[in-house]
Amino acid sequence: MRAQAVAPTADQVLAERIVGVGDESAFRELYRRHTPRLYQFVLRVMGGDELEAEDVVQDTWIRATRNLAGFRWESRFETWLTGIGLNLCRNRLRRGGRWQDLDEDRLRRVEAPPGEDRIDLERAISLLPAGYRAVLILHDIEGFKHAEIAERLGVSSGTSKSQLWSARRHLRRLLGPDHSTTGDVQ
Amino acid sequence: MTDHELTAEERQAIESLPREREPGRMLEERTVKALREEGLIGSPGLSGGRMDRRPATGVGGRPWWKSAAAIAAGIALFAGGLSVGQMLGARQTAEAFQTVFEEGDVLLASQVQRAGSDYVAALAALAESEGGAAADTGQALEVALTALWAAANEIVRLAPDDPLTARILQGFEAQAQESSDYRADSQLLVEF
Repeated sequence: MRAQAVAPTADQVLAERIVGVGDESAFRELYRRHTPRLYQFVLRVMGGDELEAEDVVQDTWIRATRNLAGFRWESRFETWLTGIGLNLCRNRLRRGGRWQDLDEDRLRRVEAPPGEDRIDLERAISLLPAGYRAVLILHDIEGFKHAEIAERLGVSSGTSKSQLWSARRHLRRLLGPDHSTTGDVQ
Repeated sequence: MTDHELTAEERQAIESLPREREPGRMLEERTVKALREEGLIGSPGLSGGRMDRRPATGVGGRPWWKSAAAIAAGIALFAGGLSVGQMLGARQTAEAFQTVFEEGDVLLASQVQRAGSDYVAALAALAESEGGAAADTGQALEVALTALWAAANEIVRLAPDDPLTARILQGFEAQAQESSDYRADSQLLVEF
């Protein structure tokens, strides 16, 4: 069987124009194709802070453009971009003391702010500790496998699973009648 | 099924969460500016064919950036005419005219000035009329605001860091966000 040539994706064509001649219009096209999804992802991981999320998205594009020539197109561009965004979120949360190593999250107390009688799912996700939140977003919303999450976060697959289960448990309690939970996981 | 797994209802609630969200319009311009400063991308005029969503030519076949400059000049003039503020009018008019004059297209600037004046005069007449239907007035207001938003977007392309333009756009975006949040709130309150 003869190997078939793989047609370059639209993303790849745009990327080649950016790398080759620094084509601004190609960059804008690529930006507009992927930013709404990237922004929503980053906004969730950052716990709903729009200003910080915009800064992270900007840094993500700068880093991605710097490294575009080295991207091998063995994975989807969107996945690569999400990975860069996740790393930048994690760095920023760590610098602000908001990202503890996942195992330390076990003892974190998760509470809905007083006065919030009823919170929606989006708000409940934003209240999770950053480590739990990232795993839940990556697995349940973005559809990553535990092995992929483990690789991206530098933890084992088992840790990813246990964090996901804990995150779901916290989420149920946050959305339940008493709105609070201690984060100790059995 | 264990409590580790999502129930069908929980899965449905998660799947109903939005996967996309538009950031502020300023972000694209900020990012492009930062990339230009790093030398990672060039200016539109140096980079060959445009794939931008905007047309390659503006009004009357003129390059898009001349049209943008003209619109910027027009909006600055009309903002001044509406007495939004002395500072706003003086500073932005001067900046916008400077851009246009540098390109040597005085005629275009004067055309935009006339169009801007006509626009302001029409709005002033509408404001003074008492016999118009509320629906017509509302439509005129919507058209006027849309023009203002479009013009502010073009000014952002000329001066991405201009704080005044940023505030104008943020006002529009906040309003749009409030509308979408209102609609989303009624859909996202789910029992988990």
